[in-house]
Amino acid sequence: MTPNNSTISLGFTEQQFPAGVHVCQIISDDNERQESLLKFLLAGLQAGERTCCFSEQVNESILKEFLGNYGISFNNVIDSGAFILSGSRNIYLHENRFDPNRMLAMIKRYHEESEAQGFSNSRVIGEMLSEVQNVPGGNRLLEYEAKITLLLEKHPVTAVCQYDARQFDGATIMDILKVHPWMVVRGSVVHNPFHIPPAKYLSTIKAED
Amino acid sequence: MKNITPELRPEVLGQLLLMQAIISSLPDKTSIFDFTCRGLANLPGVEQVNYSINKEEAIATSIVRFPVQTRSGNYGELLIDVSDTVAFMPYVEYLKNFCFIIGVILDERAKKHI
Repeated sequence: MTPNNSTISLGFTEQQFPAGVHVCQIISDDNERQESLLKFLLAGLQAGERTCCFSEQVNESILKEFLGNYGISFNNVIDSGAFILSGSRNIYLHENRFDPNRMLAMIKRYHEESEAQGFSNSRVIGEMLSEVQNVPGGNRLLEYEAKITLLLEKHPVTAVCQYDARQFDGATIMDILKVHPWMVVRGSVVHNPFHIPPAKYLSTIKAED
Repeated sequence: MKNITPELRPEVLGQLLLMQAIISSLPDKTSIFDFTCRGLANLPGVEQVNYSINKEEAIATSIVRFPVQTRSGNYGELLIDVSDTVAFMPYVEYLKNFCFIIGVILDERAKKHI
């Protein structure tokens, strides 16, 4: 399949982006989180993109009703593989540890499979859990995010990472900004002036293997 | 002797603006000052930044005080340990404004809780 070079919509902003942007959304309000998440999913499914959601905040019944309002059958998109829904705990805390290598391999595979199945593009939205910091591998969270940015250069899955400012401390929120090239500020997506290019960032840390 | 001209870097001003925008969505004072101290440590010429809720009486000569206050509220001070005065100086006035804005945000929150 030929790569799709057109721009995509994130759904929660009017702006258009090339596929494969890596966006950080700092959340402090449950309604804001859910609204952004639902709009992101809807925009993906309406555009024929393969769409994936890792969240504890939405469930099948919320999505059935929301997507149904836009004429999209939840069961159909699940059955066709166009939509993947999973709790973030299952994904990020698999076997009670945070394994960046496993996550990176999963995103790579997701992109390759999406292309092979003929989807125009692919996207994922994930709600990061603060518990990640307290399990084995949790000290590699920033390394993981930096490596995601690198991965998306070759495998352009559009990715939005939701971080709850009520769950992560302020210093960690600042550190998280440094590993995301784009971020959401009051509903708009802006270039992040704190972003450290991933190769530079990764050269400054010693990763556990 | 060569004249050293302090350089004002636009990306640093961008960082200050972005921090202001994010601070307004952080949940509490602890989160705000943790975030602020970590962020301001990126400023040119800065070694480290600490927050003190009370005015520190004795501080090292390398530390510059930035009170976080408005006419109606006093929210402590940021203590910025400066390692390169030439690099740091261009941002001093911006930092004063930045601290004032944090004070305004905290004022508004305090009024909402009344």
